[in-house]
Formats: sequence, C-alpha cells, structure tokens
Amino acid sequence: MEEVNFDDGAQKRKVQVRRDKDKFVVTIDGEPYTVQAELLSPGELQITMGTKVYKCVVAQEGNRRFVFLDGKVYELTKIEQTAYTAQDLEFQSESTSSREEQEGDVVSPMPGRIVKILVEEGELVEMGQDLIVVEAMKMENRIGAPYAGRVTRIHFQEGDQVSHGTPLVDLEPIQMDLEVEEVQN
Amino acid sequence: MTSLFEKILIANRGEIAIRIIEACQEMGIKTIAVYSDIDQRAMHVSAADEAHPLGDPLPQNSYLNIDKIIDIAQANGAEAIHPGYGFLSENPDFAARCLEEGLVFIGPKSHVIRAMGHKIEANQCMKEAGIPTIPGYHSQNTEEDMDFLLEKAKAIGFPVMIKATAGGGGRGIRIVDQEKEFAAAYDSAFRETKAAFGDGSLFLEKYIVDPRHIEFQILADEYGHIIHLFERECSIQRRYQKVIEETPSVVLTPELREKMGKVAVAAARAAGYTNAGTVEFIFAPDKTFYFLEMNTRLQVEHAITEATTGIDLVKWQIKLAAGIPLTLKQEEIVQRGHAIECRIYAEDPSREFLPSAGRVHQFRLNLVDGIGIRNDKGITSGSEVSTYYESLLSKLIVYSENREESLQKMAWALANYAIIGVQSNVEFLRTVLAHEKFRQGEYSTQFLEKYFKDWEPPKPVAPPEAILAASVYDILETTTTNTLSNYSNAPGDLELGWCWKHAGNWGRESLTNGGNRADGRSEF
Repeated sequence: MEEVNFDDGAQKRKVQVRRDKDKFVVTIDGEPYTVQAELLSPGELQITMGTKVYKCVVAQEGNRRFVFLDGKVYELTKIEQTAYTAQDLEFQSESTSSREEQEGDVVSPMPGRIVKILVEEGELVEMGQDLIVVEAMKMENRIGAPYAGRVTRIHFQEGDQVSHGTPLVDLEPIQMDLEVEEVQN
Repeated sequence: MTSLFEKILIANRGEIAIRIIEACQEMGIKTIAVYSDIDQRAMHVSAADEAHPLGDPLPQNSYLNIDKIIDIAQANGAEAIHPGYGFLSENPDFAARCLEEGLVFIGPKSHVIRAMGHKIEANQCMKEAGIPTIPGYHSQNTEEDMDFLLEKAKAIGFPVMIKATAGGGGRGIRIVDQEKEFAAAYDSAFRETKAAFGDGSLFLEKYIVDPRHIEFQILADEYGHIIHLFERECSIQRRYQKVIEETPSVVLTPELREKMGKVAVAAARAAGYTNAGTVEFIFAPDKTFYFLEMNTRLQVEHAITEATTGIDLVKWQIKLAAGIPLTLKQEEIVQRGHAIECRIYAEDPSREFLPSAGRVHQFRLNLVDGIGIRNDKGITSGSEVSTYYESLLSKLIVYSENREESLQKMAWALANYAIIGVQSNVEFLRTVLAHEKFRQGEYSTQFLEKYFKDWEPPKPVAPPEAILAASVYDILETTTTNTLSNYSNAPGDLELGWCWKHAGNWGRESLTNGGNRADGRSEF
C-alpha cells in the first residue's frame, strides 16, 4: 500500500494505491477504483476501468506529474505522505505558491536579456512604474513595480542574461504616508 | 530545360528546415543542414543528408552568420541555398553574396528584397504602379526626430501607427490614439527597431480601425510569367504575430477575390518579382483594401494554400530558382475546400504568453493520421526548447470540404495534441476556435485584443481519471529495471535544475503487451 497526496492547484487529493496482481486498486479521497494499466510507449498509458478504456500521456518532472487527458494537461504536485499532517500539507502548499509574490523582490517573468534599466538604486518608485525592460524572443517586456517602494538593489546590468524567476530588483515597500513625507523632504 | 540542383543547403532550423529538406528528398536533391551548438540534437540535423555546425547559438553568430554559411555551402558542394523564413530569408546582402559566390539564392533577386524590405520604398513603388496604398508619411530620410514626426502625425490625424522602416514580425510597431501618447511610443519604437535591426528609421501610417489582414500568394518565374494562388486570411494575431490563418477568407466575394488577385499580380510585376512571394493587404470594413507589404519569402502559413490549391510551393520555389519556367496558368489554379492553420507556440497563456523554455517530455498528435491533417513540426518528444530562437514549435493544418468542417476537424485534432514539458497555446487556440464570433467569421485583427485580452486558462479540478493515471504511472515506472536512460545525459539538465531520467519502460511493456503498440497512434 502506497499513500500519496496530489495537488492539482485547485484541490488536494488523498490517494492510496495497492497493486493486486495485474490490477491496481486506487482509492481517491475514500472512493475506490479498480483498474488495469499498461505503458504502451514511453509516457503513453492505457487504463482499463470496467468497460471504459482510456489513454493518456504522462510525464514526470521532480515531484510534479503531468497528465494529458481529453485535450488538457493537468499538473499534479505529488506530496509524499511522511510525517506531515493534512494541515502541514496545506500550509506548505500555500507558502510555496505565494513565494513568488512575496514582498522584497521583483523577479524576471521569463528567461531573456536585460535591455534597459530605467531606475537607480535608492530611487522611489510608484506602483506600476516601469523598472526594467527584458527582451526575450526579440520582444520587449516591461517589468513594473508591483507596489510603491524604494529600489534598494539592482542585481544586473544592461546586456545581462537572466533566467526565469531570477530576482532583478530589490524593492522595499513604502507606506503611502511615509512616501509623502519622503517627497516633501 | 534547365536541370535541377544536385545539392541544397538549408540555412534555417525547426519545422521549416524539415519542410524544405522533405521537399528536396522528394525531388531527389541532397540536403545540407546547419545547426548551432544548442541545436545539435535538433530534428532538422538528422533529417538532412549531412549537417554542419555553426557554433555559438546566438543568432548573429549562427543562423545569421553569412560568412560561415557560405563557407559550408561551398566546401560541401551545395549549388543553392534555401533560407526558409526569418533569419537570412529577407536579407538582400545575403542574396547578393550568394550570387557573387556562384550560389543560387532560392528566392527573389537581391535588389527586389531590398526594395520591398524598405517599407517606404515599397510603398512608393506600389503607388507609382497604381496599387492602392494607406495614407501616411513616408520619408526617404532616416531616423527623423520626434517633433517632426509628431507634426506629420497631426496632419494625418490620429489614430496613427508608427512603424519601423526595417522590420517584420511586428517589431517596432506602435499605435498612437492621441497626441499626448506620441512621444513615449516614438521612444519605445525607436529603441526596439534600433536594437533589432541597427536602423532606427520610423514612418507613419493612418491606422485603420478593425481591419482584416488578407494576403495573396504569388508565384513568378524568371521569364515574366506571374500568377496568384488566391488569398489567406491572417487576421487572428496577437501582438502582430499571426496565430490562426485560413483560406478562403469569409469576406471575399468571387468578384473581390478576382480583383485583389489581379492587383497582387500587378504589385509583384511592379516589384520585378521572381520566385514565391506574398502580397499583404489591409482590408477595411468598407471592403476597400490597401497594399500593406510584400513578403519576399516563403510564408509560415504557406501550407493552407498548398492544401486548397494542391500546389507544392517549396518544390516550385526550387524549380523557379533553377530557372525552370512556371508551367501553371492562372486559369488552371482552382481554390478547393477550406484549410486552416494553427500555430503552436511554446508560450504560457497564464503568464501573458511569455515564452516558455525547457525540455519537451512529450510531443505527440495523439490520433490516427486522418484525412486532411498535416502537422509540420520542428521538435519531438525529448527536444529542448530554448529562448534563442522563435517560439514556434509546430503548425497544425487541417483541410476539409468547407469552413464548418475544417473548424470541427481542427477542434478535434487540437484536443488530441499533447505537449508536456513546456507551456503551449493549444488550449488558447481551442478556446479561440470555439468563440461564437470566430465561428461566424466576424473578426478583424483586433479580435484577440478585444475578446481575449486578459484570457487565462481555466484551472479545472483534475478528474479521477487523471489522478489514477498519475498514481499508477509511478508504480509502472519504478517497478521496471529496464528503464531507458538516454535522456539523462543530455546537456542542459543541470542548468535547468532537474533531470528527466525516465523515458519509460516501453521496451519491456510492449513485449508483454502482445504488440499493442500497433494501435495506429501516430507518435513523433
């Protein structure tokens, strides 16, 4: 018996899998399914569930599983059932998904090249103000400030290559009243 | 009768390189592929008879490196070079250099590429030939200052469009609705075109609201015989990149089609055009049309014309370049049925369609090859997609008796198009095709901006079938010792921070399976 949790981004599922000779008994959130399964070619899976026979394409990448079924790719994050409680899992999952949007840095939304830096360290910027222009596939993409703040650090120079998710600029959030005060000074 | 070439070098990559190599193979012509370091394992490399390295993947050092490409062609006995689309295909210097070095450039003459590539000059040429053109300001001077152009913009009247003189692929284009937005748009367009082409020349045009983009395919031989192969409607565009193309266009009446075809041929004649080319028109809601530009190369969307006319454009390009006369007569060209193309891009619709890179774990059209389905592809399962080049992965083309059936067939084919590993626009395409206005043919180049501006793919709850598959897949994978490991040593794994170690246990399972593989599924 193997226990595993899957998160499809919208919902978490508790899954138990048991192999019974040529069959699998899979229980999803308490609902049991008895199926036969075989790999027809790399990544191509055929599943027989009673009279229903369906095929899908599956790939893995670290703890993520991708399933192509009926024209859609489902991304399932596998969470091994260790000492975590259900609450832990929920907490862990939420903190992971919100990491990119945390305050403090502006990250590159794509791999590309920095063609222009529009701000300087120490500069105060408004929410939405353009900070950096990143070029990818010959198209310019303007990276704006997600909130008003002070640029505390610029990590790159014009011409540098950056990968997806790389912090580009450190931005210290500023409260509105503070900002007014700063400007008056 | 002039004889054909023995050997051709294809100065391109991806799906178009493969398309050209296959045409050559059909014609019994040997092929030379070239590839940058990052493309060492790319599909076009193994498709050709021989392949030669170009080194550094940066386009200017590889697929745009004229000296290197000419050297390879000469050292290996190529008689002609096919440039495909993009890269060197519309570079007049490259075409001229080929001629100097005794190589045939498969395309029009250098001076024609230069004239048509220079939008202002092209427009002037068409005006003089009596071809309708869009009102605008087209100066011969280069890099004019902002204040001067602003005065001209006011004279034309807003909205105006700023465009790059050198250009293509939508780069350097800005629409300005009001006077106060002009300065910022000028600045941005200038920088983009300067960076992309080394030339900051801009010009202005009246911006036509809700236009359609309709183009005509041209074939012209060396002896003054020019024909058109009807239209393609390419109005479904995002950021000026075409996404869906179809032929015939729903808005053309037979009379209008004939008229536009004649104008297209006249435009090609005015340009002194030879080989395959495309005359693009802006088609206004009042059914007036204006010359937009001439594309002096094979178009990405050429396959829909091939489907509806039955004429192989790449083979004709090669024949015409060899000096063979065009034996097709205008009255013999018949437009039959309806064809539509979807461009499959590696891009992430949930992140504003930004390019998506990485290893493609799975890439397959998961259905039996049907009537009228063509999948021109440049990648295969296990391919690596980089951000060095355009993000076009493949083109899916379907052909049916009529538009309604084409749309049904396309929806069906897309529902079976599995791409795992990079994000793609497949679901977006399916949604666009299903849109009521698109189904009715009521659309313009503003369609995607109007109806799909903030579109994001829905995040549906995975059905039990998907959860089941993911659950049993791991067990089938890990209980097999006979795991293929040919993907684990590929370059790039470490850079990307993950490894795809399992290509699956296909070898073993297929044996126990009694040959279940022969189920008619097409895998690629």
